[in-house]
Amino acid sequence: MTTVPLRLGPLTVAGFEVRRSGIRWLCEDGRLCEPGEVVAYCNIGLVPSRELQAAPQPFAEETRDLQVAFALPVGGRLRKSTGSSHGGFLDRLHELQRWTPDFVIGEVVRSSHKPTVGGETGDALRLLLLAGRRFTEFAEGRSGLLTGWHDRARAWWGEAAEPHGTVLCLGNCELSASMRGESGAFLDLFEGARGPAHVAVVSDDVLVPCASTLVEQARRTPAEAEALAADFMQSFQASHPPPRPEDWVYASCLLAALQRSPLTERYDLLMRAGLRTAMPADTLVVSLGAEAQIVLRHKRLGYTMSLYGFRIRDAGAAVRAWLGAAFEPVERTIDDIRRDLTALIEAVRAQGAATVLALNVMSSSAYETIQSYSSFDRPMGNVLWSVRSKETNLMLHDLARERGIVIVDVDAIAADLGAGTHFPDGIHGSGRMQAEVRAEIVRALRVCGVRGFAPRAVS
Amino acid sequence: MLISLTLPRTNEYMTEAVIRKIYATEGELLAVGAKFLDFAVDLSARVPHDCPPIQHYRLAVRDRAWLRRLKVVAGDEVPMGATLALFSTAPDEPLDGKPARAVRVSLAGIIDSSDWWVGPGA
Repeated sequence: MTTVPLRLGPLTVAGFEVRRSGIRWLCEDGRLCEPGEVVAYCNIGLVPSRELQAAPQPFAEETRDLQVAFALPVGGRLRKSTGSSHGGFLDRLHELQRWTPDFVIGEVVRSSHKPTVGGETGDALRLLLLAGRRFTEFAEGRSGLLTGWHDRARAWWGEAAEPHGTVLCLGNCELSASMRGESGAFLDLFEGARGPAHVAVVSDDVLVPCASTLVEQARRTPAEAEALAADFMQSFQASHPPPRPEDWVYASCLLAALQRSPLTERYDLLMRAGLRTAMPADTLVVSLGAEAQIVLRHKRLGYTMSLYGFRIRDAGAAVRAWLGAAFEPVERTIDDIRRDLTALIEAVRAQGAATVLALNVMSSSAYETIQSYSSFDRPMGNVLWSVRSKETNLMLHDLARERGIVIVDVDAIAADLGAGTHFPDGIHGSGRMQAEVRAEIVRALRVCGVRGFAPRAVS
Repeated sequence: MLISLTLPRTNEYMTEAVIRKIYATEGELLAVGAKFLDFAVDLSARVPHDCPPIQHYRLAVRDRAWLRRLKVVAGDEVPMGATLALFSTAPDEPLDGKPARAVRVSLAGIIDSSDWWVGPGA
């Protein structure tokens, strides 16, 4: 029987003092743990030296939701150190205490020699870094691991010597839920990504990341962004009925999202040996589910956006009045969606992204009973949901042949598992469904040679 | 022979539906495959998640039958299993008997974006 102390290990950034909260545990003392299992986490703060206080700060938009989760280097019986956790706010305040490499958060008691994870870390804890960019700094939600209302959430391993790739996920709730997994913190996904992987997921809560909007965001000049904001302010201030709190919250988050560009963003990465910058995404994962049939186009400025109808209904009368006066709904054909996706693929390839994955949509319904299609008007793709879904999926196959993108066949997975059981409301998948989609995405990333998704090394 | 139509289940969580559009009128002879009505199922009050699915369906009849009584109008909210209409295989059959069976129908999910966005002031 051997005991392996779980030391924090080094985490240094030149010009900054790395600080942390108390440790929050994700499992009970005495648990028999697997190697690689994430068992605890804490919040992280970077305090600049006097010379750097006026300089641009790393993680400027993620300061309050920067965390590190600890994965075990070996399996065995977990014993927690009594001084690791303080409880209450002391386990949430990100600048509570200095990060000291020799601090031992606990130990693992091993009954036999089992393989370590990754092979390169010895008995040091592996660090999974997590960062959330809040929709607004007021959206405080530090109740757990990567909790809160984030417009972008991301994760990466903190040990890799080689450069990280970035997998950027832009889709609907099914894609983000599959990538973030049951924990909401990417833990399941990173089980399959032992190398220098960096995954970012953009939320669809306010602005749905559909192809046309993403391309426009990437091409929008600062002057156009200013014009967009000025137009919004002018319209909204003169709004009748006057805006209520729910209008302001929705509109301000929408405006902030429109002025960003997920495709061109760079990322700060905190590593054991310092800071790195990851370039804009080299791998894109999109979903057809985010490509709505109807988008809104601004009548004067011409920009488009895709919003969920149910969010608009919740947003408030002033938002609806603004949308009604300033925008026109534009119905998109499948050819239109194909054109928009093509433009998106060309845009990301132009900036170096080699791999594009696209999730297709489920096209079957457990309760549909069509004996003859003669009852339905033509073209049936404009009438029948299942026909449109199949035609959209076919379009994706054409696009895959033309542009070399990879299809994640959600339709087939749902059919295999049983749509009635695993898509009971027709839209939202079960945990099993999400796990299967996630596994298929990881498999595709591996086959495509995406950095960080090489097969797991066991020594 | 009297035959009846009840609101079918389209989803595990469905409890009611809103009648959106009716294509037939009382007294009309419906051919096999004729469009009968569209309805919407809104799961927002039934399924606890952030993005409530609102799904639209169409019923088309697969019996040649006379529509004798319509029990609903567009806009009605109807519980699952409620009788929507009575049909007969002869035009003048008395309606006081018990329906012999359910009318055969096709059920299909349809695209209806008319209420995607409810418009200003709604």
